[in-house]
Amino acid sequence: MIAAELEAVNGLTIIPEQATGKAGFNAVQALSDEPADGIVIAMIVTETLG
Amino acid sequence: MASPVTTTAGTEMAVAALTDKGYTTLGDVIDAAKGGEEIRFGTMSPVLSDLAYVIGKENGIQFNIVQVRGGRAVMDGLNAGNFDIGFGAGVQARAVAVGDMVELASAKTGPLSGAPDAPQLKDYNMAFTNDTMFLILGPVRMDDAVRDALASAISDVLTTEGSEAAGFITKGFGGVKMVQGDALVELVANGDTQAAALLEASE
Repeated sequence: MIAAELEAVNGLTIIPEQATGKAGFNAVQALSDEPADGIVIAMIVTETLG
Repeated sequence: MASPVTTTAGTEMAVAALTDKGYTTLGDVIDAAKGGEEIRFGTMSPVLSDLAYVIGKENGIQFNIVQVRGGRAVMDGLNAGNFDIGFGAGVQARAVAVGDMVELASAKTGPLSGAPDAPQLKDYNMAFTNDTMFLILGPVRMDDAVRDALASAISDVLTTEGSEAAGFITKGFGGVKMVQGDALVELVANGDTQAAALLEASE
C-alpha cells in the first residue's frame, strides 16, 4: 500500500519482491549486495536487527 | 548494519486465542497449564519464542512453543486448532473485533488499543515486553541525504489525509508511528540490548 501511494505521488515505479524467511533476516541479507543509493530498500520489523 | 530509514507503525503485540477455547486472560491459560493441560503456543520469530519461553518460566510452566513463518501463519494455526494460543502483532484485530478471537494479554508495553482492559505481561511476573515496529531500511552506508529524502517521501504519503496505507495501519497496528534519524538509530540499538537481556533470561 505504501509503495502504491509512493508511486502515485512521486511518479515512481516500485517493484516489490518478497524475501521471506528467518524473521526478516533474508530481506536484510538481500540488501547487502545492493548499491546504497536509495533504489533498493526493504521493509522488515525492528526486532530483525536485535 | 543496514541503514534504517523510518519506522511506519508499531504493533499491537498480544497473546491471542480463539474465543471458543474459553480463555479470557493469560492467567486462565497459566492455570490450565498448571492443571496439566498442554498449551501449544504459536510464535513467528526467535525473539517471540524466547518471550513465550520466559512467560512460562516466570510462571512455573512450560509451553509447547512452535515457531512458524509470519503472523498470518500463527493465525492460521490458531484457526486450524494447531495452537492453543499465539502471538499476534495486529493481524488479529479483525477476528477480535467480530468476537472470533480474544486478546488474553498485551505483550507490548502498555495496553492494547483493541482491548485496553486486557492484562499486561507485567501482571504475570514479566520484566519483558515486545514493542516491535515496522521498519524501512536501505543497504549499509546509505548517504544521509538519500536516507532523509526517502524518509520524507514516506512521511508525506503516510500523513496525507485519506491515505489507504495510513488507514490500514491505524486499523490493525494502532496508528502511524514514524521514528527517524538519530532517534531511530537509538531505537534499534535499544532493541538489540533488550533482545540480549531476554535471551539471557531464557537460559
